[in-house]
Amino acid sequence: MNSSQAVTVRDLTKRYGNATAVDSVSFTAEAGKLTTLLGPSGCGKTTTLRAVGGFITVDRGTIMIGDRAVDSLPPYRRPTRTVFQSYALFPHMSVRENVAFGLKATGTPRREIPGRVAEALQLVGLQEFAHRQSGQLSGGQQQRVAFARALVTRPEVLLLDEPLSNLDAKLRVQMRLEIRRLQQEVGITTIYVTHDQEEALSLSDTVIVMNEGRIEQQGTPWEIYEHPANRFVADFIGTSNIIPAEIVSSGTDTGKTGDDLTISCLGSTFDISRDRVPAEITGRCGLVIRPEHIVLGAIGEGSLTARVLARDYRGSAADYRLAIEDGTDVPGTELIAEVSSPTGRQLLEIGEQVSLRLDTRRVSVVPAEE
Amino acid sequence: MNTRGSLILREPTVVVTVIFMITVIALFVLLPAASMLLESVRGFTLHRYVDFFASRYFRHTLYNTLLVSGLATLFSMTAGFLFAYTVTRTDVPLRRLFSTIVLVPMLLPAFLIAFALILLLGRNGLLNQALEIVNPGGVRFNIYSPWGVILAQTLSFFPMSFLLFAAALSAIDPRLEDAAQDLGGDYWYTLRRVTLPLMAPAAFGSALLLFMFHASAFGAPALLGGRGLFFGNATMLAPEAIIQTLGARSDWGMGATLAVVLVVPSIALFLAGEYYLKRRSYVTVTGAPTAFRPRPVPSGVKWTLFALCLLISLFIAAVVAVVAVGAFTQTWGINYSFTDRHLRTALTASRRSINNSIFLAGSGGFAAALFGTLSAWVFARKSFRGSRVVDALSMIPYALPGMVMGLGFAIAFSGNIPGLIMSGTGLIIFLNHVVRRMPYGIRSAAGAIRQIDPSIEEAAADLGGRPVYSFVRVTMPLLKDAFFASFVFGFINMMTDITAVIFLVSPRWRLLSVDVFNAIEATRYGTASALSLIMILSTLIVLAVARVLGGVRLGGKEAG
Ligand SMILES: Nc1ncnc2c1ncn2[C@@H]1O[C@H](COP(=O)(O)OP(=O)(O)O)[C@@H](O)[C@H]1O
Ligand SMILES: [Mg+2]
Repeated sequence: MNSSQAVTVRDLTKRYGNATAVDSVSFTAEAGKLTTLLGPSGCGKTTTLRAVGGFITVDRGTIMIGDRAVDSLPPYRRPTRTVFQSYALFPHMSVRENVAFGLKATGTPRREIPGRVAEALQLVGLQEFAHRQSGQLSGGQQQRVAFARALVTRPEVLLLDEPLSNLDAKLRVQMRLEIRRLQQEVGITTIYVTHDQEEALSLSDTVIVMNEGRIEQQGTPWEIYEHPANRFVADFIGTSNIIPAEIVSSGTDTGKTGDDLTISCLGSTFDISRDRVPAEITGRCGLVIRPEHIVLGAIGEGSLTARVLARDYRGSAADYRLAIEDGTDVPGTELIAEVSSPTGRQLLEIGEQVSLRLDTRRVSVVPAEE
Repeated sequence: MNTRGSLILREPTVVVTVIFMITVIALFVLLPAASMLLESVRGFTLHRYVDFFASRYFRHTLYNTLLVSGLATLFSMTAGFLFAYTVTRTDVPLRRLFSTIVLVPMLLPAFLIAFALILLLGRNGLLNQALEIVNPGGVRFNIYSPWGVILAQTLSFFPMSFLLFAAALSAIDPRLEDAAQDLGGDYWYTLRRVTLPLMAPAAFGSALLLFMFHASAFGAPALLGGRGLFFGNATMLAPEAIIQTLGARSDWGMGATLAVVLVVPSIALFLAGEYYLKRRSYVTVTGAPTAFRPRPVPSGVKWTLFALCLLISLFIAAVVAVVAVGAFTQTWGINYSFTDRHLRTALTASRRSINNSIFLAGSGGFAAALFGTLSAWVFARKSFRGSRVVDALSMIPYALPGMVMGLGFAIAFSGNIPGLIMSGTGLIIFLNHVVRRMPYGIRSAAGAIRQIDPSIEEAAADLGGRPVYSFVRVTMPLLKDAFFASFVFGFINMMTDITAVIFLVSPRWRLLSVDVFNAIEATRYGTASALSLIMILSTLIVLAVARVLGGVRLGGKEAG
C-alpha cells in the first residue's frame, strides 16, 4: 500500500461569477483518518472536494498532499482517487475492466493487473461479479465497484462525494459501516462529503462543519455534538433547543471551584462547567440543550411545568413539543423533549401537564442571537 | 368480444387514422415497391439479374457504389465528428457560427453542391484558374472523378453525422471523463478509452444511415462521374438505373433490376441500424449537471480543430457564394461582368416550374406534417392491437431511396393497373412527396410527444374537455413546433428533390429542381445558378417564417 498522506488545504477560495462557493477555507485531513465535510446543500463541500481532486482551478489557496503542493497538477497526476456520487462507472466496460482502468491508465505492468483487480474485488466482496456489465448491477454493487476502482491503484487519498445518497435508507446504514471498515482496513486518508449529520457522526474521525463557503467548526464527532461552537452548528447537528440565557457570574467571583460558571435561564440559575462555555462568551448567550437531556416527570418533581403541544411517537423514543407554563419569567417558551423507550404509562397525551428538569451537566453555551 | 365495434365508437380518430394509414401504405408504398420488383422479373424470368451479374459494366456500377459510398461515409463521419467535438467540447472562437454554417448543406441538394464544385474546381473553376495564374500548365483539380463525387457527397451529408455526434457528445455524463482522469488517464487515454467508445452507438448509427444515403446518390455521380469512377467507365447504381429507364434504351426492366440491387442492402442496413440502436445506447443518469463541465481540451488539439472547422466552413460559404455570384455573371470562367439576364431567363422560361414546385412543396409539406403528427399521436397515445405493426410499416418509405420510390410510382401508376393511371399529373408528384415525408413527420412529432406528460391531456379531459377539444386546445399547441419542423423539412426536401421526381415530371408538370439539373447538365451555368438561387431563397424564406412562427431548428435531410 502507498503510505497515506495528510491533506492540507490552506486559504482555499473559489468564485463562480460573483458568488463565492468556497471562502478562505483551511483545514488538515490527518493521514490515515476519515475527515468529513458536513453542511447543507450548496455550502461548498463538493467544490472543496473537487479542488482537492484537481477538477477545478481555484482562485486562491494551496493544497498540499503530504509535504508536496499539488496545485499545478492535473487530476491524473494527483495521488487522489474519487468515488463519485453517481459512481460514474464506465457503461461500456465490465466490472473487471472498470476496476482495471486506473491500473492500465497508469502503466501498471500487465501481469500484475489480474491479481490486483481480484484483490480489490475481494475487498468489496464482488469477486463473482467481475464479468458483469456495469449496468447490470444494483446501486449498492455499483457503489462497491466504484470503491474497488478507486482503491485498486493504492492512492494516498480517497475522496468521497455523498457516496450514499443514491441508496435507500437500509442500504445506506449498511454501506456506512462498510465504508468505515474499508477505510480502516486500508488505512487511507479519506475526505468524505455529506449533508447527513448522522452519517458524519457515525463515520468520521474528524468532522468539519461548513456553511456558506466557510468552516463553522472542526472537531471530533463528540466535540461537534456536545460542544457546538455556535448556533449554526448547534442547530444543524441533531435537534437542539436553544434557549435565551445569561452568564451571571464566573465561579471565581463567587468563590466556588474555579471551573464553574453560573447561568440564569428560564427563571432559575445553575452552575455549569467552564469548559462547556467558549471563552469569548460573557453576559447574554444561548443555552443549547438536546431533547434527550430534558428529563420529564410527574408534576412537582421538576422545577418547571409545561403543557404537551404535540407528540411524535417513533417506537424507540417519543418526542414532545412542550410549552413552558410557569415557574419562569418567560412563559410560552417551546422546547422539544425526547423520552427514550417510553412505557405505556409514560406516554403523554396532548394537552397534558408535565414537570420538567434540565440535565445541566450536558448543556452547552453559544453566542446570543444577534 | 365486440371490441371492434366499441373501438370505433370510443375512438373514431384511431380507427380512421389506422385505416387511412394502412390504405396509404398499401397503395403508395407496398404497391409501387411490388410493381418495381415485378417489373424486374417481367415475363417471369430472372434473366435481368443474370445479365446484371454477368456484365462487367454492371458489376462495376455495383463496386463503384460500394467503394464511393464507403469512402464518402468515412469522410462524412470524420468531418461530422470533428465539427461536433469542436462545437461541444472546446471554447474556440466562432463556435456558434460553425454550428450554424455546418447545417447550411442540409438546405442544399447534393447535385447543387456538385454544381458549385464545378464552378470552383471544374475546368474553368475559380480555383483552377487561380492555379493557372500561380503555376501555368501545372497540376489542376479534377472534379470529374470519383474523388469529386466523394467530396460532393461528403459536403452534402456530413452535417447529418454532425447532428448525431453532437447529440451523443452532449449526452455523455462529464463525470465519466472526470473519473477517467481521476484514475490516472491523461487527455488522449481518456479520449481513446472513454469518450470514443461511448460514441460507438452514434458512430454505428450514423455510418449505416450515411452509407445508405451515399449508396443511393444520383445527382453528384450523374454530374461528376460521367466519365467513370474507380471501376471502368461505369457510374453508380442510381444514375445507371435512371440512364437505363429514361435514356435512349428505355429499358424499365433493367432499371428496376438495378433499383432492387440497390434497395435490398439498403433496407437490410436500415433494419440492422434500428435493431442495434434500440438495444444499445448508454444513457447515463446525471445528478447535478449544472455543476460539471467537460474537461478542457489541450490547446494544440483545440487550435488544430479550429483550423479544420474554419477551412470547411469557408469552403461551405464558398459553395453558396459561387452559386449566388454565378447567377449574375455573364459567362462563368470567361467573362465575369455583371448581368441580370440569367435571372430574367430563369423567371420567364421556368415560371411554371417555379410555381409548380412551390405549390407542390407547400401543399405536400403541409399534408405530410399533418398526417405525420396525427399518426404519431395516435401511435403514442392509443394502444390497439397491431399498433406496432402499423407504426413499423409507416417507416418503410424512410428506408427506401428516393429513386426507388420514384421508379416504383412511375411503374405502378402508368397504366399497369387499370383505374390507377396518374402519370403526367401533379397528383402523382404530390402523393409521392407526402408518402416519403410522412415518416419524418412521424419521427419529429413522436419525439415531441414523448416529452409531453400524458397526465396533461388527462387533466384536460378531467376538467371536462371532450377528446377533440382536448386535442385541439392542449395537444396541438404542444405539438406546434414539431409540426412546423416537419413542414419545413418536407418543404425543403420537396423543393430540392430530384431522384424521385425525375421519373414523375411531365411537360405539363415540370419542376424547378429538374430544370436546375437539366441546365447544369447542358452546361448552361448562368441559368442554372439563377434557378438555384431562386430555389435556395424560397427555402430560406420558408425556414425564416417557420422559425418566427414555431421555433424551428434544422434537423433532417434525405438522399439526393
Ligand atoms: N460550475 C459551477 N458554476 C456556477 N456555480 C457553481 C458551480 N459549481 C458550484 N456552484 C455554486 O457554488 C456553491 C457551492 O456548490 P457545491 O460545492 O456544489 O455545494 P455542496 O456540494 O455543498 O452542495 C453553490 O451555490 C453552487 O450553486
Ligand atoms: Mg455536493
